[in-house]
Amino acid sequence: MELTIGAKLLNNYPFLGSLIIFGIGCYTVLSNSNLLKKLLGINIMESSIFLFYVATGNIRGGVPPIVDLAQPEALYINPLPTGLMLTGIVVSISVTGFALALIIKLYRFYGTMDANEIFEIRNEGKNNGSSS
Amino acid sequence: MVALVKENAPILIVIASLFSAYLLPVFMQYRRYGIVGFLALATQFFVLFGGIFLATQVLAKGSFRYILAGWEAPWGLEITIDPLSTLFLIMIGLINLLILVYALPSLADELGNKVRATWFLTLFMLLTAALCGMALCHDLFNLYVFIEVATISGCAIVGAKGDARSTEATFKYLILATLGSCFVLGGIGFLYNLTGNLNMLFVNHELAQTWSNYQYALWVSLSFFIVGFGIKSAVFPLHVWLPDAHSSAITPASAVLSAISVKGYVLGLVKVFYIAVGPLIVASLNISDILLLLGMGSIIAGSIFAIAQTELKRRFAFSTIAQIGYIFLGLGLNNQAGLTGAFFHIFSHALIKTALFLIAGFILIKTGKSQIKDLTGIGKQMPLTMGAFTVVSLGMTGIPLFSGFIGKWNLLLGSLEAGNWLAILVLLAGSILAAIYLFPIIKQAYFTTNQDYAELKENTIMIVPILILAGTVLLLGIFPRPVLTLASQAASMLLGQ
Amino acid sequence: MAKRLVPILAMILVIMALYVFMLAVAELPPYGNVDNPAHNYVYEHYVNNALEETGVLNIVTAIILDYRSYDTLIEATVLFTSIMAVLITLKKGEQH
Repeated sequence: MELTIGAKLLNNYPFLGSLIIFGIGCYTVLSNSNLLKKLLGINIMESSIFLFYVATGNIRGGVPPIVDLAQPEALYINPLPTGLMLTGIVVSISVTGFALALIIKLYRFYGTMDANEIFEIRNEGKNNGSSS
Repeated sequence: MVALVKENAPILIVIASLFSAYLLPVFMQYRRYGIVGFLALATQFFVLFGGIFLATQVLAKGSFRYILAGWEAPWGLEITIDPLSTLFLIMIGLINLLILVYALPSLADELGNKVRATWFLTLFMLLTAALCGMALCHDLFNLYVFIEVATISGCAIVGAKGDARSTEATFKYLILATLGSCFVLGGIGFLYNLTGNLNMLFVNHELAQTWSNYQYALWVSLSFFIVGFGIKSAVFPLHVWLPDAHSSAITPASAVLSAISVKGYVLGLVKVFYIAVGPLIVASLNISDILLLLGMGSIIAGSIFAIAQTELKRRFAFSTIAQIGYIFLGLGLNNQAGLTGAFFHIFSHALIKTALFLIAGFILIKTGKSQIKDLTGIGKQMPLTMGAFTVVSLGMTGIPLFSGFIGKWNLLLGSLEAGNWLAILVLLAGSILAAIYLFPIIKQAYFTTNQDYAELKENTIMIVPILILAGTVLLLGIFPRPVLTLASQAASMLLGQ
Repeated sequence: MAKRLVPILAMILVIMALYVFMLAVAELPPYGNVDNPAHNYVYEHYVNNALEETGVLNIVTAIILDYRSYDTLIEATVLFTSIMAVLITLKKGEQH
C-alpha cells in the first residue's frame, strides 16, 4: 500500500506538529532580543522534543504501562520514552532555574533584560575607557 | 578490597568524582578547607591512574564492557572501555590535576573567599565526572544526561568570576549550549524512533539492516547531531559563544573548558557517528563532507580571527576554534590516518592549550597585563614562563619534535590517502597562520626591552604545572608511542565495525 | 539595520529546516502502529518481565529506578549541579 507524502504527513501529525513547534521555539530564541523570551523559546523547543518522544512511544489502542493483573492480555504503550522524558523534564527545569538566576544577575548589573541594550551599554562603557 | 576496586574500576572513576563533588560542600560546612583541596586533588589522581590502569588492560586484552545494575545490554545500561575512552580518561585526569595544582593556591583570592572557591571546585568536579561519564558511556540517552551535567557545570564555572562581562558570556553560552542540547535530544529521538534501541551497538545493528528506508530521517537526525555538537564544540559558524566565555572566565575555568570540555562534545559526536550509526552510513549520506567543510572553515576562520585579537586570552580562545577545526577535518577524512591524527591532536592540543591559558593567567597575576602589546620584554623577566610558551607555541604550529607535529602529520597522511588536495592546503595554511598569531608574542617578549617591571619572582608552585605541560609537549613529540598506539587502535576500532 | 535583518534570516532558516523536517516525517514509521521499530524486543521485555524482575506494577517506575537507575543518579546530579550553579551565581559566600 503506497501512500502519498501528504497522507503520510497527515498520519504522522504528532511528529510533524512537534517539529513545527521546534521550529517556532528555534525562531523565538534566534529572533528575540529579550533574554526572558529567549529562555521561553528554549523551553518551547524542549517541550516539542518531549512531545516527539511521547508520540514515539504511543500505540493506538494501548493503555498506560501500569500492570493490571485483572487483564493479562492488555496492550501497553511503550514505557521507555515516557521514562526518558521524566529525566528530560528535570534537565529542562535545572537549565531554566540557572538561566533565571543569570537573568536576575544581569538585571542587577545593567537594569535591563534586552540583549541589544546590554550590548549598547557595554560599548559605551568601553568607549569611555571604564570597562566594567 | 583492591580486587574489588580493580574489577569495578570503570564505574568507580565516574562515581568517585561524583561523590567527591557531593562531599565538597559538606566539608566546607565544617570549614575543613584543607580536606576540600586534598579531596579534589586525590580524585583527579584517581581518574588519572584509573585511566592508565584501564588503558593497560585495554591494550592487553582488547576493549570490554561493564554492565551496570545487573541488567544485560539492551534493557539495562552498560559502559564501554575501549582505546578511545581510556585515552580521554588519561587526558581528563592529567589536565585537571595540573590545572588544580595551578589553581588551588590562588583560587580563594581570585573568587573572593573560600566558600565560593569550594563551590567552584564542586562544579569543577562535576564537570570532571560528566566528562568521564561521556568518555565511558555506551548509551545514547546516558550520553545526553552527561552532556547536560557538563553543560550546566561548564557554564557555571564561566560565571563564577561574578562580574558583568562573565555573567553576560555565561548567559550567551547557556542559551546556545541548551539550544545544542535540544538538537542532540532531537537527534536521539529520531534514532530511537527508527531503531527502538538506545544502546549504541544495538542501534548500529538495527540501522545496518533498515537504514536505506529512512534516508531523509537519518540525514535529519545526523544533522541535528552536527548542529548540536557543533554548537557545543564551537566549530566555525556556530562558535559565537566561545571567545567571550573562554576569555572572560577565570584562568582554571578557561583552561579546562578550552582544553577538555570542548573535546568532550567532539567525543560525543564521534561516539554517535562511528559507534551508533557507523562510518559506512555516515560516508554514504555525505555527512563526512559536511564535517570536512566545517573543519576547513574553522581552521581558516579561527586562525584569521585569532590574528585580529589584541588580548592574550581572546587570541588563545579563537585559536581553540581553529584547533577544533583540525579534529573535525580528521573526522571528515573518514580513514585510519585521519582519525588517528584527530585523536592524537585532541590529546596534544589539550596539553598545549592548557599550558597557553595557564601562562596567560600567570602573566596576568604577576604583571596585571592582559593586552598583547603590553608584554614587551617579558621574556627577560619571566624566562621560565616564556620558555614554556615558546615550546608550546612551536608545538602548536606543528614543528617536528613537538607533539603537535605527530597529529598534523597523520592528518596530512590521511588527506593524501583521501586524495583531498584542498585539505592539505588548509592544513599547511593553518600551520602558517598559527605561526603568525603566536610568534609575534615571542618576538616581542625576547627582542624588545622594557624597564617597567620590578623584579618578578617565578618561584611559586604555579609555575610547576606549566613546566610539566611544556615538558610533556616535548616528550610526546619525541616519544609519541603510548598515545599514538591508543589513538590508532581507537581509529581502527571505530572503522572496523 | 542588522538588527532588523536577524528575524528575517532566522525565519528563512527555520522555514528551510521545516521543509526538510517534512520530508523526514513522511519517512518515519506510521504513528501509533504496533509494528513500529520502536516497539521491538526491548519494549516487549519491559512490558512482559518488569513485574517479575523488579516487583513494580508501574513499568515506567521500574525502568527509571531499576533498569536505567544510572541515568536517574545522573539526573539527580543535574539538579545538584544547577543548585550549585545558582548558588555561585547569586550568593557572595562568606563575608570576612
